[in-house]
Formats: sequence, C-alpha cells, structure tokens
Amino acid sequence: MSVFSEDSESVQDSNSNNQPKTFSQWQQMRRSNPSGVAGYYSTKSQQKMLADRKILGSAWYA
Amino acid sequence: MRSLQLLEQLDEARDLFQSANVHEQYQIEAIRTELRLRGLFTSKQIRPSSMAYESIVAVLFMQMTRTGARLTVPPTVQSNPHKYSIPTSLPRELAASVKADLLLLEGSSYSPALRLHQLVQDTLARVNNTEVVA
Repeated sequence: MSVFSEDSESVQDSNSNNQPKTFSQWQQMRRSNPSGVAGYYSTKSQQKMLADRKILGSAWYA
Repeated sequence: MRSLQLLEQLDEARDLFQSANVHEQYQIEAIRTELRLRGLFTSKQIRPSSMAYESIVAVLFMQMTRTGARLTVPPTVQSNPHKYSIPTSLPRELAASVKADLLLLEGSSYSPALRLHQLVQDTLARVNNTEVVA
C-alpha cells in the first residue's frame, strides 16, 4: 500500500518544477512563497532562478 | 559629477530599498539578478540578510547611474570596512564590478561605466515591459 495518495504530485514529475520559470513567475513566487526551504529566498531557489535566467536569456523577461 | 559620502549613499540606498513599492521591488530584483549573473554576490550560502544586502547594492548602483555619483572608498575603509559600519563584502563586490567592467576605478573612487548604464537601462526597460501578475 502506498503511503502517498494517488493525486499527490511528485517533485520529480512536476513539469512546472523542471521547466525554466520567467521573471514574472519568479516574482509571483517571491510574493506567494518568500521563505522556507523551497521559498523564493532559499539558496536552491536563487540558484535555480539564475539558471533559468541563463537558459532563457532575454526571453526571461517575456 | 557629485561625490557623496559612502555611508550616506548606503543609507539612502537602504531607505529606498525598504520603502520600495511593488513595481520598484521588481526592478530591484531584476537588477540584483543581473549583477549576480555578472559575478557579484558569489557567496554560496544565501541568507535573508545577504538578500537585503544584495538589494541595497543593486539600489546603490541604480542610484549611481541616475545621479552620476561616485562612490569613494578610502583605503582604510577598504581594508577594515567593519570598523566603519560598511558591509564587509562591499569591497569584494566593488572589485568584482570593476572586473566586470561595470564600474571604473580612479584612485579611491568608483564611477559607473557605460556597461552599468546600459545594464540598468536595458533591465528596467525589460521589467517595465513585463506584465507581472499580482
């Protein structure tokens, strides 16, 4: 028996976690989820944001 | 070209950061990210206090491009910033900015280079054209 409910979303499976976010999406996250381990200001999120900026180039601001 | 005292400039930048409205916060965040992309703020462990510091430096640079102000950092402050209530990593950030051709160093004074003007102008134009959903 699985400990997870069927509709639970895996971090690995979530498309939104794998696809680069735009500046607008990151700023939405800053306002909705600023703190915590997965929050906007966490080291991991900041590194991911910079990586997204590099991947998307100027399109990051689209 | 004006030459302001370093502490006054940092205080002004801190005040602007703390009183920034929603749109200005977007601008600060964009400039902060662009500066990171160019080798500033290389600390691996990011803390809330360092985020505020990075934002203040971003505002400081924006102010320098708007006013043309120089940032004068005497050698005694460069070597012992903590004694003068200056963020200890600021000299490192300024050196990284010179290396990235964002600031020009003449004696003890830093002035905004053309590349910093372009960076701030381009970034603000992009942010102003970005529709950020509240």
